Amino acid sequence: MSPLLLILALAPPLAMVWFFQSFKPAPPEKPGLLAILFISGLLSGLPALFLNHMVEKYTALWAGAPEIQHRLLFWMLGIGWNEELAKLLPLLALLYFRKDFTTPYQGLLGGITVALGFSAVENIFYLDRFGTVTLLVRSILTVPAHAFFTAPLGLCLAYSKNAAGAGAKYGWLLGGLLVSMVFHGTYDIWLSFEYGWINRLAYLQVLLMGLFTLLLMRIARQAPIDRQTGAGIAP
Amino acid sequence: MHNDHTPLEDKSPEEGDSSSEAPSSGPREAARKVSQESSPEGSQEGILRASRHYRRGNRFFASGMGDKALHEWKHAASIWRSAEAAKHPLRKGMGNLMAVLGLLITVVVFYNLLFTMFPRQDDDQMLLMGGESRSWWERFLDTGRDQQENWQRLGIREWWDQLRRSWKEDSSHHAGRREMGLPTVEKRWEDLLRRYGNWGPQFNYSMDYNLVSGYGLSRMGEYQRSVAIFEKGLLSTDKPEKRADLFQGLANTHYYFGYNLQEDGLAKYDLEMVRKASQAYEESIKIRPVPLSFGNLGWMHYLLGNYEQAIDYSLKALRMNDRLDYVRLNIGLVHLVQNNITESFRYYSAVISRNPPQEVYLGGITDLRELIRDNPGRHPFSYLMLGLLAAKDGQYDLAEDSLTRFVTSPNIGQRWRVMAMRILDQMTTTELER
Repeated sequence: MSPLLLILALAPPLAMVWFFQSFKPAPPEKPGLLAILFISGLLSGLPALFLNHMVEKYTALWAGAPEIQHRLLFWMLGIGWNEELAKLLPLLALLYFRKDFTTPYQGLLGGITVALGFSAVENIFYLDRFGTVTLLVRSILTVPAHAFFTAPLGLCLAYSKNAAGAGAKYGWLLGGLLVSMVFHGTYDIWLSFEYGWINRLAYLQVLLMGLFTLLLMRIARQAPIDRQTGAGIAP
Repeated sequence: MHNDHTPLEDKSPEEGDSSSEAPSSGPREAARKVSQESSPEGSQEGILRASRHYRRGNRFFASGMGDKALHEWKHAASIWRSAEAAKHPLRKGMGNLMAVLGLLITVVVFYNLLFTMFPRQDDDQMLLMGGESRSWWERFLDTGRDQQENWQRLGIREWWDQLRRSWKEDSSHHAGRREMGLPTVEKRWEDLLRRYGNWGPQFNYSMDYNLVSGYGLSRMGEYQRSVAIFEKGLLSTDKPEKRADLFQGLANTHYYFGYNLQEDGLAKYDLEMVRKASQAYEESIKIRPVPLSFGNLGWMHYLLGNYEQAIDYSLKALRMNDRLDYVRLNIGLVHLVQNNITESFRYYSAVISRNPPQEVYLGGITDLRELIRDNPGRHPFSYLMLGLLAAKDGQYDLAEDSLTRFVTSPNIGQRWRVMAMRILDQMTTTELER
């Protein structure tokens, strides 16, 4: 792959990281941390690929399954769960235990950055396979979609960090993962239909998820910050 | 109870105004305060601050400023929770760790459930078997599923029909034909589609119901109806891929129509049906030349006595796929019948040296036994080949019997006789060691 194509594949996700970073309340996130999260998002494509492969190979769930319920479950519990879990793993490893990870917007930004890294590796893969035309569609639809799938997960990660008690922390983590899984699975289900107008529901969903993410950004920006400690506070 | 307080209650100079608590002066300061808050002393301070916010909320409430009161109470509750957690800093860190461990356990349980509740069906699983000559990585990557490009994405109507059928079947689970052990027509179609729709090398989701039902009827032994369905399908489509599938199905049906399995495990063939099968296969390879079809054509021409064509087609199959050991056995058999013993032996030896799966030996043994049955005493070398295959397969009694018959046959040449006797000796030694 030529360097120009690589830049084309990476540019939309990186632009979106810059967009979400620019809305972060001061202080700005450390560029090094963002870079590490983005790269870990790129690498999280590997576990996702492995998990998807295992599910397709060793269960009755796959995209071409004759039974409708198996197809639906594949998109939801297979692709949706696997890919969001793959994004969560670097967040847990690199962000969750950091002492300076305190505010909800940090979680939101972290989640989105990893997701955009993930979508970047998909971009590279699809660009190599289907050419530059797909990049346009993916930049409009899939790259933002990945960011929006994982935004709730990132926010929940922050709330989990600030929650009191292991049970509440666990609840936030699992809840965030489930919400992201449902977003991702539903999106894939729309795209699995044959008819164009059903496919268009995926566009609608991305639009709605975009609005929802704006709402989450607003919540994260306005979330109560403990002025004594500078830490974010769980709702 | 909040009305018990007045705005002036507990008022002190430093808490008279909410702005008296200076905002954090920067990230370093914030970090320092986080660290301070994390200490037990800091937690005590946090609890004091929480109580101050709580009382301030009470005063706002008493003054009729409900919104501000609510904000202060929420803030107080939040600070109190943080301060409580900070009382035990080790436990706070442990809480994060426990939450993550809990999540990982949930993930493991999730996959356990997923893989046990939706296992791949046994017949489907068989698509993963074989191909031992491929590398580990190639076998790992092979899901046994169709390529993504060939998936037939279901239309909304099919989705709806399937959903409705699924609901209907659930609601009448113990009623009607199912209770009598008779599948509904829809269920039968579904079963046929499941069984044949994703099976075999011609795996293709764009196949039509003619093909599915043709295979289904053939499998049920209703060959004439199956042939009629395949022929109807051929009349109804011009698509080359579908026609290739239908011709192949027609060929298989003709072949099995003419295939009569006897009590001794050997088959007798209706050659007219074999001829029709070969004609259908020839039509199929015009559209889609696949090695399997060439291999089958080679076998059919052997049955029909067209030995030159049998070898031509078999060699084509081998050129396309070098791993088809049953085709090598067929070529060996044809040479044997034509009395080209050296060539025949070369092909049989090649198969043995490749160490194929047991079913390949069994197929070769059956073919040779059929040849001996149909031509008693005419092809003495068939005993040699039979002995070789049986010995390799571990059927020592059969091997010994065949080789003994061979060495006692007249006009076989000293070289072959010596070789057979040597094999017999080796086999006896092996048997004794065993």
